[in-house]
Amino acid sequence: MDPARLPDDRCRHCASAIPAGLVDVAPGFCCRGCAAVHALLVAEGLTRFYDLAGGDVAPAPEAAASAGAHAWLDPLVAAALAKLPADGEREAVPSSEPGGSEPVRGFRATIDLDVQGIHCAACVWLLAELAKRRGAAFTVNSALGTAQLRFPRGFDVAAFVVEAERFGYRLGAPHKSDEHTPVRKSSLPLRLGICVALTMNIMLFAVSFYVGLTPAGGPLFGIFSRLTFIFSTAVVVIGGSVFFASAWRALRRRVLHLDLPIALGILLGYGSSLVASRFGRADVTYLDTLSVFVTLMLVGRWLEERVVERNRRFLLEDGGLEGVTVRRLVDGRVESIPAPRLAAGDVLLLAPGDLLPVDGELVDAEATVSRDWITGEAEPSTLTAGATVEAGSCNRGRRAIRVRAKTALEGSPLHRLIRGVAARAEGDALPAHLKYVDRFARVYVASVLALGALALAIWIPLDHQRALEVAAALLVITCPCAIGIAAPLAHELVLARLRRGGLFVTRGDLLARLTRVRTLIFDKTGTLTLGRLRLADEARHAVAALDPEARDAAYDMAARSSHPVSVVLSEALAAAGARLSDGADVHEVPGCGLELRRGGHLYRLGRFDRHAADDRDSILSVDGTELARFAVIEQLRPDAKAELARLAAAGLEIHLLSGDAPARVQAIAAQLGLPADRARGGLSPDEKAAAVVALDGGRENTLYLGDGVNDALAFERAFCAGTPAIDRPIIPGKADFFLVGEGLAPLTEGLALARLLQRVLKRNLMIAIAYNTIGVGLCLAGLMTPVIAAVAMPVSSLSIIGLTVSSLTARRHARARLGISNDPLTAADAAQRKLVWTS
Amino acid sequence: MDVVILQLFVSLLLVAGSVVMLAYSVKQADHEHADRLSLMPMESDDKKGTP
Repeated sequence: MDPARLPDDRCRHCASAIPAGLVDVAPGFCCRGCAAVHALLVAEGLTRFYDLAGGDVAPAPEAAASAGAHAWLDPLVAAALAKLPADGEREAVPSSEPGGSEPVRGFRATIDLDVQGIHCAACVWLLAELAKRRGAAFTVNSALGTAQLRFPRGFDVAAFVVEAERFGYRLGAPHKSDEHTPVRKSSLPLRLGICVALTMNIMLFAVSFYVGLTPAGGPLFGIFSRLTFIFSTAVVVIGGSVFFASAWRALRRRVLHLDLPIALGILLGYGSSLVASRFGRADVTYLDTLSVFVTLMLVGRWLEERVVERNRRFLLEDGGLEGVTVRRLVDGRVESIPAPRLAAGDVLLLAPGDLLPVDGELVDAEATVSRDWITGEAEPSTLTAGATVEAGSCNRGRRAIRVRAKTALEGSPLHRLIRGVAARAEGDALPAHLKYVDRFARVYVASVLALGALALAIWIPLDHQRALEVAAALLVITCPCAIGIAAPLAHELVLARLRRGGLFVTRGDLLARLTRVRTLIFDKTGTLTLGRLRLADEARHAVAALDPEARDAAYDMAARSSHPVSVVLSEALAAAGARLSDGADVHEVPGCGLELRRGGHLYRLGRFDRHAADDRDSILSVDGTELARFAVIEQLRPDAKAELARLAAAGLEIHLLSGDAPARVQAIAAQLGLPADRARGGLSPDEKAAAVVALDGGRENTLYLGDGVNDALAFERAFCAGTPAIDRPIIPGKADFFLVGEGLAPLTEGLALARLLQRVLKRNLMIAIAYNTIGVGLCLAGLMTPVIAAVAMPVSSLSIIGLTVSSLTARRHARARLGISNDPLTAADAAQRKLVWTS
Repeated sequence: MDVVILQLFVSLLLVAGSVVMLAYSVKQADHEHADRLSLMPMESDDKKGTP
């Protein structure tokens, strides 16, 4: 991908559109994640990544500011190292292995991992190259989202995991297995491969018949006829059995399923062709048409299975709270255990980034913790010895801390919260919102069967030998290619387009459900905001106005603190030219801020004055005299205001629900131009869920976007649910879709494309009905021959496929229109829809 | 005519072989590993790509 060819408004990393109004992002990038990954790739000399990606790079998630929990690694590494022989044969990495182009000799331990974020060959190459540079071998199974790391003794596995995270990938414990990968259990790929191979050969033989090979052509005609018969029999048995089994199951449940006419068409077509072949006339059979039809229908089924499964495997498998590993201190030793084995009274050791799954009591003198993955609030709090550390807290300090567990996992409030939320599973039955498809299918099936019976009724008295041929021709020509082939292809095109934009769908029926969405409900922190702070404009001016001595003093203090406000301030001070002094004597005053003695003066940075206008204001003072005040504000997603305006203008209701203080929620609503009555703060998880139920009102038209575990109950109540946070456990596995990148534009795009897909599918059905009407007429008139069917069916399929592709392929940089206003609504819905935009 | 039949036989053997290899690949669950297999080093890994 040559950045010189990209317009200036496209990201140099992922080529996505750069939202207007970006703050704190390097020019030329759409988000900090892409900017950071690009800088790493350039610094490490890994820009071959872009050549291998071929321009298809997805937006990069921003790496967490602090280390994530890696306690799950300890038992894996220990078990792998324990298997290494003390001495014995040396092991070389085969030169054919990626990441092992040179044989490296030494003892090699092996661990299996799950990997998140693999898009393409470039990602596979990048991770293998990172491992190779450290002296290890990393082999990715991109089909399953798993990997294997082979490393020598002394290799720092945790450091490698952290480095992979810096590039936007996440490694996790190996929860993905054969039991969790339904696609691998499916026989569809093998059936499809065999049918494709056989069908291609059948078509080669069929061409000879089309160009005039007849029985007079000698033994070749007989050979080709017999091979055609044998291969098509194999196709019907291997490929057609998928539809036979489905139709039989439907019949047992007394349901008219689309697979029923397909199965009947295959059986009758094969039967009549069998009779004709028996008399040595393979040139007047439907075997080639049938084989092509069965193969194409299998392609459609395979696409349906594969496309959503790929998105699901993009994520780490959700091990739930039971998958969390904790470190327990026993007799002075540290042992890593799974969370279910915790007992009340256990003393746990939380390293920086580790998660506490149960309520606990702080043993150490002081600790800095945050509950961002529960609430989305990144601001940490400082606790002292004896204080309660709530379940779901993460250690955000720079040292490990000791916490005594108050309960076992079963008694944890977190456990109760998550256990009550069922997975958003898809059932076998069609959901209510797909009733129109179900209705069409039943009408279609009944019509086709009735027409087949009509054909028999007409032709048996006229020519009973031709009656079966006419009925078979009718069932073959009316087989629903538009639904079986074009529909899965259309889904694949839309999902691929959304994936490139940063929206990954993990539930197969989401696109159909999105067409019903009329109400959008957003969480605040981490959803509409980026979960990080930034300096207000006046604070930036204050930084620039500082004299060098004060600026350096402020920098000495801010750079030595991991508080989010300090991190933001130190970045601004560094950009203004501040220099760090070695050996600065900085003290932290719990609950207030930082102190520094420098040049005989006492500098303070923080909230020593309890009358600060906002408890996020940080004040710099010297000897009690205020020098500057630094206000920080939550950083909104760069396109949040614009996209919410676009959605509201299209007729959607926008609501904001948050557990944060009501005043802050109203402030954000005001920034976004959202009416005050549509923004509510101070809500508990149960209150959020109740609000979602009230807004939905049984109409099944709500979409909820949230990022914390406290959104889990609201997820369950909403009709559609998505998350912009894929770096946390639990929530991504419960969402119908997830977003990658900093913008909300992919959500708008998803809503628009879902409607476009619905229009395309309906148009395909109309074309199919028109084509079938003509075909049925020809069949009933006895004019449909195998040659005509062999031409008509691929022509109709290809034309529908071509129309589908041209309708759904994105024109260069074009965005789909959100034509919600044109959708028919009930009178009640129309009355409720009103423009809520105030600015 | 004999040549055509011989060609037919060889072609069908190739088809059979392909199907067997597909079945083996599906059983190993690496049938979607075209990406990985395409990374067989054809040139030096130290080549600087386009930033």
